[in-house]
Amino acid sequence: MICLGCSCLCDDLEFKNEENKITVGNACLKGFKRIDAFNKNRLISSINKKEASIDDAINKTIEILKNSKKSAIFGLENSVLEAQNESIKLGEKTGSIIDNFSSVYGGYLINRFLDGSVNTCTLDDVRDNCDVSIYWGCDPMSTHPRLMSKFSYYPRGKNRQRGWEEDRYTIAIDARKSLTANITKKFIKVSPGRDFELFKAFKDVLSGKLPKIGDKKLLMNVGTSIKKAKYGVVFVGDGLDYSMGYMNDFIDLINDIGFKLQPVMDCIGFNKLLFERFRYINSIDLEDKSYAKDNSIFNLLKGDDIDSILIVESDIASYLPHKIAKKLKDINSIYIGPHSNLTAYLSRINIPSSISGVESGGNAYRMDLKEETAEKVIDSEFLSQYEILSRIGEGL
Amino acid sequence: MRDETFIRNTYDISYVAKNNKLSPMEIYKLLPQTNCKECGEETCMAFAFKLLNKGTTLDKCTPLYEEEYKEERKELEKILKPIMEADVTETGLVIHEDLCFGCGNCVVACPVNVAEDPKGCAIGKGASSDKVILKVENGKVKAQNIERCRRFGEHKILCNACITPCPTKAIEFPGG
Ligand code: SF4
Ligand code: SF4
Ligand code: SF4
Repeated sequence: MICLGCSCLCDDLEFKNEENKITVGNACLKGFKRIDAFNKNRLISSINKKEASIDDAINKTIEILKNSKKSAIFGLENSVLEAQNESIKLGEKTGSIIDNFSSVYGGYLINRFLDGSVNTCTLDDVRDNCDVSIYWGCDPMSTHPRLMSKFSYYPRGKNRQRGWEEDRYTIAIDARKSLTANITKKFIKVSPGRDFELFKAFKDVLSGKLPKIGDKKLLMNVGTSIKKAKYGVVFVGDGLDYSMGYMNDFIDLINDIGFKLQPVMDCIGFNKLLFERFRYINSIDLEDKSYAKDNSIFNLLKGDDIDSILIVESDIASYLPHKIAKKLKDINSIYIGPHSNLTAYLSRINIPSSISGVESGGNAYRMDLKEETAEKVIDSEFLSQYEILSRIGEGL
Repeated sequence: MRDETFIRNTYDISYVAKNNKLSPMEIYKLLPQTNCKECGEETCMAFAFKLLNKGTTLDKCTPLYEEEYKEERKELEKILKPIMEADVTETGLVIHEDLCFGCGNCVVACPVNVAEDPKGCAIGKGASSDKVILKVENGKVKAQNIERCRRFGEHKILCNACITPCPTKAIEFPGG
């Protein structure tokens, strides 16, 4: 079984279901909880907080979209490609704005990753070859728990046969001592917002100069390991993007030292679809296929451009300032997803869906863009997100 | 309270000791009683206590292996045998289930897992063989086949391979 719990898409899960008591071998706790949640905290179909049939909720959604002057579609980072494609179709039909989580974090980096201007490799290459890995502003042990055991640190690879102690060198760079930093061989603490200075210090070290800031000995030491690397990979997460803003220089340096770059983010699959179609990964107005910063979820909810929004499995309200998230109450908001959460709570219409990769199948991209097919393992009465979106599309 | 999976079952050990009517005093009587500190303990009595709790081993008491104490040593070996056997079935591995989140680092790092499961654990995947020691199930690591652990038995070594890669220190061997 394939796990869609994060963009590692682990493919070695052993699933057993005996009288609704499930046993899952090999999945991490995050992945297991996602599967085990099939009978917990499920979303209840409702219109304006009143329980309603799914058909009624879907019909009401169709009515809203028909009468809407401008609508938006948000989310789908956690959905399968089939549902993502369907949401694009729906958006084109309604001339909606389409946006996703990458407009909040990580967008610029993902854009560069997808336009082919950074060196990348597959996770299988990482496992077979990587001897130096750097985790900058990301904490895969918390967000992608099996990344290091499956690919980047602990496994034996074709050209890394001697095990992690001898064969692999790891460095965590973060604002705090994260779980990842607990196990990497070196940890460099960087104050929030000062990644860029650290990055310049690295640049100095790598060109043979003394660094101007930071723990000089540590930086020199790490610099030497980077220079000696035969196959280096930098994993980058939200933390870095947030504090450095503009990443061109950073990406150039990584390219210069011959390292590969891998974003550790979950929206990459949907971003790839959008990029292939429109050359943008978020904040796109499907009416004229244009991109504008004003089309990001933050600005949309802040402003008054839209009167309705359809959100698919993304608890965006938990990430936005409450003042902004509250706006969902004032417009026609529809939430589609398997579980109830803050975003669903604030939305006017709730349409429950199956859990993708558990109660319905579908395809998805791993973080390195390898495509995997997830199968359904539990029967349920819930419609898949693909089915819900296509029914809405047909009704329009 | 911590929800701990004790693979070493302390109840079993005291049971063994009780069944053999073994007390620290009986062990002490057979020791050299010189408080020479060779074993690393302050007194022979302290050493006796530790032996009973499996915190040390008889060979730490080097004088015992001199000709003079041959008889005592033999007797000690005999009465300690049930405890040593308890040692043979257990290695003292403790998994703190509340801390473990199933990342699988330990599963992939354990040398026995790697040797027993070349197509699974060795290349980073979850366990695909019944012979492995560590395997993640329902998001938490479980231990089995403990007798294959390198810390097990007569030729045991102080293997740390599953402890070091754990980001939350969920695995430990109390007493070292
Ligand atoms: S690391 Fe991600 S894909 Fe793998 S089991 Fe955990 S949640 Fe699932
Ligand atoms: S002590 Fe060594 S052999 Fe025993 S379980 Fe841990 S890693 Fe494996
Ligand atoms: S390394 Fe620690 S957290 Fe990870 S599976 Fe093993 S015991 Fe659990």
